[in-house]
Amino acid sequence: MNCARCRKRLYEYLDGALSARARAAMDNHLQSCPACQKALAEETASAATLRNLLRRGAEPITLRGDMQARVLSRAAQTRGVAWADAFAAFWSGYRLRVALAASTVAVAVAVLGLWQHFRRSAATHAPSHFECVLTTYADDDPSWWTRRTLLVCSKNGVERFAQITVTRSTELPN
Amino acid sequence: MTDAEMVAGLRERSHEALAELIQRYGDRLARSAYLLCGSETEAQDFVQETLVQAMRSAHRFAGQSALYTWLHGILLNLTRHYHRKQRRVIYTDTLPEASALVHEAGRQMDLDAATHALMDALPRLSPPHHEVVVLRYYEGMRLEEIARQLGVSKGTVKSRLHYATEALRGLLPREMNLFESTGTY
Repeated sequence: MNCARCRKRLYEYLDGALSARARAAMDNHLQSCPACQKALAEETASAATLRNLLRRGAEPITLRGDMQARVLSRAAQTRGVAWADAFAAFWSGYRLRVALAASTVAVAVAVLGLWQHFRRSAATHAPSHFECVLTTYADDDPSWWTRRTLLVCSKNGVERFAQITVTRSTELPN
Repeated sequence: MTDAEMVAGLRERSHEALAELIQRYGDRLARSAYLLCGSETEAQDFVQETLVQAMRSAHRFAGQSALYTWLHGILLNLTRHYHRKQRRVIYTDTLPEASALVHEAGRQMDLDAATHALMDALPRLSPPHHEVVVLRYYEGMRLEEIARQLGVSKGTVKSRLHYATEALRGLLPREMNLFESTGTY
Protein backbone atom coordinates (compact mmCIF):
# COMPACT_ATOMS: atom_id res chain seq x y z
CA MET A 1 0.00 0.00 0.00
CA ASN A 2 1.21 3.49 -0.82
CA CYS A 3 0.61 6.78 1.02
CA ALA A 4 -2.10 8.03 -1.37
CA ARG A 5 -4.19 4.89 -0.88
CA CYS A 6 -3.59 4.99 2.85
CA ARG A 7 -4.81 8.61 3.12
CA LYS A 8 -7.79 7.79 0.94
CA ARG A 9 -8.89 5.07 3.34
CA LEU A 10 -8.23 6.95 6.55
CA TYR A 11 -11.91 7.59 7.37
CA GLU A 12 -12.88 3.97 6.73
CA TYR A 13 -9.93 2.88 8.87
CA LEU A 14 -11.12 5.04 11.75
CA ASP A 15 -14.70 3.80 11.23
CA GLY A 16 -13.54 0.19 11.39
CA ALA A 17 -15.19 -0.28 8.01
CA LEU A 18 -12.27 -1.92 6.21
CA SER A 19 -12.03 -5.63 5.52
CA ALA A 20 -9.54 -7.56 7.66
CA ARG A 21 -7.15 -7.74 4.72
CA ALA A 22 -7.33 -4.01 3.94
CA ARG A 23 -6.95 -3.16 7.61
CA ALA A 24 -3.87 -5.33 7.90
CA ALA A 25 -2.38 -3.62 4.84
CA MET A 26 -3.09 -0.22 6.41
CA ASP A 27 -1.53 -1.30 9.70
CA ASN A 28 1.57 -2.50 7.88
CA HIS A 29 1.89 0.75 5.99
CA LEU A 30 1.29 2.89 9.06
CA GLN A 31 4.03 1.08 10.98
CA SER A 32 6.58 2.09 8.41
CA CYS A 33 5.31 5.54 7.34
CA PRO A 34 5.70 8.46 9.78
CA ALA A 35 3.85 10.85 7.43
CA CYS A 36 0.72 8.67 7.37
CA GLN A 37 1.00 8.09 11.12
CA LYS A 38 0.95 11.87 11.52
CA ALA A 39 -2.06 12.20 9.22
CA LEU A 40 -3.93 9.56 11.23
CA ALA A 41 -3.01 11.20 14.53
CA GLU A 42 -4.14 14.60 13.24
CA GLU A 43 -7.47 13.28 12.02
CA THR A 44 -8.05 11.46 15.31
CA ALA A 45 -7.14 14.57 17.30
CA SER A 46 -9.16 17.02 15.24
CA ALA A 47 -12.16 14.65 15.34
CA ALA A 48 -11.94 14.52 19.15
CA THR A 49 -11.57 18.30 19.35
CA LEU A 50 -14.46 19.00 17.03
CA ARG A 51 -16.69 16.48 18.78
CA ASN A 52 -15.90 18.01 22.14
CA LEU A 53 -16.39 21.61 21.02
CA LEU A 54 -19.56 20.91 19.07
CA ARG A 55 -21.07 19.18 22.09
CA ARG A 56 -20.12 22.10 24.28
CA GLY A 57 -21.52 24.57 21.75
CA ALA A 58 -24.86 22.79 21.47
CA GLU A 59 -25.17 21.78 25.11
CA PRO A 60 -27.23 24.80 26.28
CA ILE A 61 -29.94 24.00 23.74
CA THR A 62 -32.90 22.07 25.07
CA LEU A 63 -36.24 21.45 23.48
CA ARG A 64 -38.93 23.85 24.62
CA GLY A 65 -41.31 22.44 27.19
CA ASP A 66 -44.49 22.89 25.17
CA MET A 67 -43.17 21.04 22.13
CA GLN A 68 -45.64 18.16 22.41
CA ALA A 69 -48.64 20.50 22.48
CA ARG A 70 -47.24 22.47 19.56
CA VAL A 71 -46.65 19.33 17.50
CA LEU A 72 -50.14 17.99 18.21
CA SER A 73 -51.69 21.33 17.35
CA ARG A 74 -49.74 21.55 14.10
CA ALA A 75 -50.54 17.94 13.25
CA ALA A 76 -54.24 18.64 13.84
CA GLN A 77 -54.09 21.51 11.35
CA THR A 78 -52.87 19.14 8.69
CA ARG A 79 -55.64 16.61 9.27
CA GLY A 80 -57.47 18.04 6.29
CA VAL A 81 -55.08 16.14 4.12
CA ALA A 82 -55.95 12.80 5.67
CA TRP A 83 -56.67 11.39 2.22
CA ALA A 84 -53.08 12.14 1.29
CA ASP A 85 -51.93 10.21 4.35
CA ALA A 86 -54.21 7.34 3.41
CA PHE A 87 -52.85 7.32 -0.14
CA ALA A 88 -49.29 7.49 1.16
CA ALA A 89 -50.00 4.54 3.47
CA PHE A 90 -51.47 2.57 0.58
CA TRP A 91 -48.62 3.52 -1.69
CA SER A 92 -45.95 2.61 0.83
CA GLY A 93 -47.47 -0.84 1.24
CA TYR A 94 -48.13 -1.64 -2.39
CA ARG A 95 -45.77 0.56 -4.35
CA LEU A 96 -43.50 -2.32 -5.37
CA ARG A 97 -46.40 -4.42 -6.63
CA VAL A 98 -48.05 -1.45 -8.31
CA ALA A 99 -44.79 -0.45 -9.97
CA LEU A 100 -44.22 -4.03 -11.15
CA ALA A 101 -47.73 -4.32 -12.58
CA ALA A 102 -47.45 -0.90 -14.25
CA SER A 103 -44.12 -1.75 -15.84
CA THR A 104 -45.46 -5.13 -17.06
CA VAL A 105 -48.46 -3.41 -18.66
CA ALA A 106 -46.17 -0.77 -20.20
CA VAL A 107 -43.90 -3.44 -21.70
CA ALA A 108 -46.91 -5.40 -23.03
CA VAL A 109 -48.38 -2.25 -24.62
CA ALA A 110 -45.01 -1.39 -26.16
CA VAL A 111 -44.58 -4.90 -27.61
CA LEU A 112 -48.15 -4.90 -28.97
CA GLY A 113 -47.64 -1.45 -30.48
CA LEU A 114 -44.41 -2.49 -32.16
CA TRP A 115 -45.99 -5.65 -33.52
CA GLN A 116 -48.91 -3.66 -34.94
CA HIS A 117 -46.53 -1.13 -36.42
CA PHE A 118 -44.42 -3.71 -38.22
CA ARG A 119 -47.50 -5.59 -39.38
CA ARG A 120 -48.98 -2.45 -40.90
CA SER A 121 -45.65 -1.50 -42.36
CA ALA A 122 -45.29 -4.90 -44.00
CA ALA A 123 -48.78 -4.62 -45.41
CA THR A 124 -48.15 -1.11 -46.74
CA HIS A 125 -44.88 -1.94 -48.36
CA ALA A 126 -45.86 -5.33 -49.67
CA PRO A 127 -46.52 -5.43 -53.39
CA SER A 128 -50.07 -6.24 -54.17
CA HIS A 129 -49.07 -8.45 -57.05
CA PHE A 130 -46.26 -10.91 -57.54
CA GLU A 131 -45.13 -12.16 -60.82
CA CYS A 132 -42.85 -15.15 -60.65
CA VAL A 133 -41.08 -16.56 -63.68
CA LEU A 134 -40.11 -20.07 -62.92
CA THR A 135 -38.20 -22.50 -65.02
CA THR A 136 -38.67 -26.15 -64.49
CA TYR A 137 -38.21 -29.45 -66.20
CA ALA A 138 -41.28 -30.94 -64.56
CA ASP A 139 -43.89 -28.47 -65.71
CA ASP A 140 -46.52 -31.12 -65.86
CA ASP A 141 -46.51 -31.64 -62.09
CA PRO A 142 -49.18 -29.29 -60.66
CA SER A 143 -48.34 -30.20 -57.04
CA TRP A 144 -44.85 -28.73 -57.47
CA TRP A 145 -46.32 -25.39 -58.51
CA THR A 146 -48.60 -25.44 -55.52
CA ARG A 147 -45.75 -26.06 -53.12
CA ARG A 148 -43.59 -23.41 -54.68
CA THR A 149 -46.32 -20.78 -54.60
CA LEU A 150 -47.12 -21.38 -50.98
CA LEU A 151 -43.46 -21.18 -50.12
CA VAL A 152 -43.06 -17.79 -51.80
CA CYS A 153 -46.12 -16.37 -50.06
CA SER A 154 -45.13 -17.65 -46.66
CA LYS A 155 -41.59 -16.39 -47.00
CA ASN A 156 -42.75 -12.81 -47.55
CA GLY A 157 -45.35 -12.97 -44.80
CA VAL A 158 -48.01 -11.26 -46.92
CA GLU A 159 -50.26 -14.16 -47.69
CA ARG A 160 -53.42 -12.12 -47.37
CA PHE A 161 -52.29 -9.34 -49.63
CA ALA A 162 -50.30 -10.93 -52.39
CA GLN A 163 -51.64 -12.40 -55.55
CA ILE A 164 -49.30 -14.80 -57.18
CA THR A 165 -49.25 -15.17 -60.92
CA VAL A 166 -47.00 -17.86 -62.22
CA THR A 167 -45.79 -17.90 -65.75
CA ARG A 168 -44.12 -21.03 -66.97
CA SER A 169 -41.30 -20.90 -69.41
CA THR A 170 -40.36 -23.72 -71.65
CA GLU A 171 -36.85 -22.52 -72.24
CA LEU A 172 -34.09 -24.39 -70.49
CA PRO A 173 -31.68 -22.51 -68.30
CA ASN A 174 -28.06 -22.09 -69.45
CA MET B 1 -41.18 1.63 24.88
CA THR B 2 -39.03 0.38 22.00
CA ASP B 3 -38.42 2.37 18.81
CA ALA B 4 -40.74 0.02 16.91
CA GLU B 5 -43.50 0.56 19.46
CA MET B 6 -42.97 4.30 19.23
CA VAL B 7 -43.31 4.20 15.45
CA ALA B 8 -46.46 2.10 15.76
CA GLY B 9 -47.78 4.67 18.25
CA LEU B 10 -46.97 7.55 15.92
CA ARG B 11 -48.94 5.85 13.16
CA GLU B 12 -51.92 5.91 15.50
CA ARG B 13 -51.07 9.51 16.49
CA SER B 14 -50.64 8.36 20.06
CA HIS B 15 -49.81 11.14 22.51
CA GLU B 16 -47.81 8.75 24.65
CA ALA B 17 -45.63 7.71 21.74
CA LEU B 18 -44.99 11.34 20.83
CA ALA B 19 -44.13 12.18 24.44
CA GLU B 20 -41.70 9.29 24.58
CA LEU B 21 -40.15 10.30 21.26
CA ILE B 22 -39.67 13.86 22.46
CA GLN B 23 -38.19 12.72 25.73
CA ARG B 24 -35.77 10.34 24.08
CA TYR B 25 -34.65 12.30 21.03
CA GLY B 26 -35.98 15.84 21.42
CA ASP B 27 -32.93 17.52 22.93
CA ARG B 28 -30.54 15.69 20.65
CA LEU B 29 -32.53 16.76 17.59
CA ALA B 30 -32.73 20.34 18.86
CA ARG B 31 -28.97 20.49 19.37
CA SER B 32 -28.26 19.04 15.97
CA ALA B 33 -30.73 21.48 14.40
CA TYR B 34 -29.03 24.32 16.22
CA LEU B 35 -25.64 23.25 14.89
CA LEU B 36 -27.06 22.99 11.38
CA CYS B 37 -28.84 26.34 11.30
CA GLY B 38 -27.10 28.43 13.98
CA SER B 39 -30.31 29.81 15.47
CA GLU B 40 -32.05 28.46 18.56
CA THR B 41 -35.46 29.76 17.50
CA GLU B 42 -35.14 28.20 14.06
CA ALA B 43 -33.87 24.99 15.62
CA GLN B 44 -37.03 24.70 17.77
CA ASP B 45 -39.18 25.24 14.69
CA PHE B 46 -37.22 22.66 12.74
CA VAL B 47 -37.68 20.06 15.45
CA GLN B 48 -41.39 20.84 15.66
CA GLU B 49 -41.77 20.39 11.91
CA THR B 50 -39.63 17.25 12.01
CA LEU B 51 -41.92 15.70 14.61
CA VAL B 52 -45.05 16.71 12.70
CA GLN B 53 -43.67 15.15 9.54
CA ALA B 54 -42.62 12.07 11.49
CA MET B 55 -46.20 11.64 12.73
CA ARG B 56 -47.60 12.10 9.26
CA SER B 57 -45.17 9.76 7.56
CA ALA B 58 -44.58 7.15 10.26
CA HIS B 59 -46.14 4.57 7.93
CA ARG B 60 -43.20 5.10 5.57
CA PHE B 61 -40.65 4.16 8.20
CA ALA B 62 -39.64 0.64 7.25
CA GLY B 63 -37.11 0.12 10.03
CA GLN B 64 -34.18 -0.03 7.63
CA SER B 65 -32.34 2.58 9.69
CA ALA B 66 -32.40 3.59 13.33
CA LEU B 67 -35.38 5.74 14.30
CA TYR B 68 -33.13 8.65 15.22
CA THR B 69 -31.35 8.46 11.85
CA TRP B 70 -34.71 8.62 10.10
CA LEU B 71 -35.79 11.61 12.19
CA HIS B 72 -32.48 13.28 11.52
CA GLY B 73 -32.96 12.74 7.79
CA ILE B 74 -36.24 14.68 7.98
CA LEU B 75 -34.51 17.41 9.96
CA LEU B 76 -31.68 17.58 7.45
CA ASN B 77 -34.11 18.06 4.56
CA LEU B 78 -35.77 20.93 6.42
CA THR B 79 -32.47 22.65 7.21
CA ARG B 80 -31.34 22.21 3.60
CA HIS B 81 -34.45 24.03 2.46
CA TYR B 82 -33.60 26.71 5.00
CA HIS B 83 -30.07 27.00 3.63
CA ARG B 84 -31.41 27.34 0.11
CA LYS B 85 -33.53 30.28 1.25
CA GLN B 86 -30.47 31.81 2.90
CA ARG B 87 -28.41 31.64 -0.28
CA ARG B 88 -27.85 35.36 -0.29
CA VAL B 89 -25.47 34.95 2.62
CA ILE B 90 -21.94 35.50 1.35
CA TYR B 91 -19.33 33.11 2.65
CA THR B 92 -15.91 34.62 3.21
CA ASP B 93 -12.61 33.18 4.28
CA THR B 94 -12.20 35.64 7.10
CA LEU B 95 -13.69 35.55 10.56
CA PRO B 96 -14.29 39.17 11.54
CA GLU B 97 -14.83 38.52 15.22
CA ALA B 98 -12.02 36.03 15.53
CA SER B 99 -9.45 38.59 16.51
CA ALA B 100 -11.38 39.31 19.71
CA LEU B 101 -11.18 35.66 20.63
CA VAL B 102 -7.51 35.22 20.00
CA HIS B 103 -5.43 35.31 23.10
CA GLU B 104 -1.77 36.03 23.14
CA ALA B 105 0.12 34.35 20.36
CA GLY B 106 1.42 30.90 21.13
CA ARG B 107 -0.94 30.40 24.07
CA GLN B 108 -3.78 27.90 23.95
CA MET B 109 -7.21 29.39 23.93
CA ASP B 110 -9.52 28.47 26.75
CA LEU B 111 -12.30 26.03 26.10
CA ASP B 112 -15.14 28.56 25.97
CA ALA B 113 -13.31 30.77 23.51
CA ALA B 114 -12.51 27.78 21.32
CA THR B 115 -16.15 26.67 21.40
CA HIS B 116 -17.28 30.18 20.53
CA ALA B 117 -14.79 30.36 17.65
CA LEU B 118 -16.02 27.07 16.22
CA MET B 119 -19.69 28.06 16.53
CA ASP B 120 -18.85 31.26 14.66
CA ALA B 121 -16.92 29.42 11.98
CA LEU B 122 -19.56 26.74 11.26
CA PRO B 123 -22.09 28.96 9.43
CA ARG B 124 -19.27 30.31 7.31
CA LEU B 125 -18.78 26.92 5.72
CA SER B 126 -20.77 26.14 2.60
CA PRO B 127 -23.95 24.16 3.43
CA PRO B 128 -22.59 20.82 2.14
CA HIS B 129 -19.40 21.23 4.18
CA HIS B 130 -21.37 22.42 7.19
CA GLU B 131 -23.61 19.33 7.03
CA VAL B 132 -20.78 16.80 6.89
CA VAL B 133 -19.00 18.39 9.85
CA VAL B 134 -22.15 18.14 11.99
CA LEU B 135 -22.98 14.61 10.82
CA ARG B 136 -19.45 13.30 11.24
CA TYR B 137 -18.21 15.06 14.33
CA TYR B 138 -21.39 15.79 16.30
CA GLU B 139 -23.64 12.91 15.29
CA GLY B 140 -20.65 10.58 15.08
CA MET B 141 -21.90 9.01 11.87
CA ARG B 142 -19.70 6.71 9.86
CA LEU B 143 -18.76 7.55 6.30
CA GLU B 144 -21.29 5.11 4.90
CA GLU B 145 -24.11 6.47 7.06
CA ILE B 146 -23.38 10.04 6.02
CA ALA B 147 -23.36 9.02 2.36
CA ARG B 148 -26.74 7.32 2.77
CA GLN B 149 -28.18 10.21 4.74
CA LEU B 150 -27.09 12.80 2.17
CA GLY B 151 -27.73 10.64 -0.88
CA VAL B 152 -24.18 11.00 -2.18
CA SER B 153 -21.25 8.64 -2.68
CA LYS B 154 -18.69 7.86 0.00
CA GLY B 155 -16.07 9.54 -2.18
CA THR B 156 -18.10 12.74 -2.16
CA VAL B 157 -18.38 12.59 1.63
CA LYS B 158 -14.62 12.13 1.95
CA SER B 159 -13.99 15.04 -0.35
CA ARG B 160 -16.43 17.26 1.54
CA LEU B 161 -14.88 16.30 4.87
CA HIS B 162 -11.44 17.09 3.54
CA TYR B 163 -12.42 20.50 2.21
CA ALA B 164 -14.53 21.28 5.28
CA THR B 165 -11.61 20.66 7.63
CA GLU B 166 -9.35 22.67 5.32
CA ALA B 167 -11.84 25.54 5.45
CA LEU B 168 -12.08 25.29 9.25
CA ARG B 169 -8.32 25.40 9.44
CA GLY B 170 -8.47 28.76 7.70
CA LEU B 171 -11.41 30.05 9.71
CA LEU B 172 -10.35 29.13 13.22
CA PRO B 173 -7.70 30.98 15.21
CA ARG B 174 -4.35 29.25 14.86
CA GLU B 175 -4.02 29.06 18.64
CA MET B 176 -6.66 26.34 18.68
CA ASN B 177 -4.20 23.93 17.08
CA LEU B 178 -7.22 22.03 15.84
CA PHE B 179 -5.27 19.98 13.37
CA GLU B 180 -2.32 19.20 15.55
CA SER B 181 -2.22 15.90 17.38
CA THR B 182 -1.22 17.78 20.53
CA GLY B 183 -3.92 20.40 20.23
CA THR B 184 -7.02 18.58 21.39
CA TYR B 185 -9.29 20.09 23.99
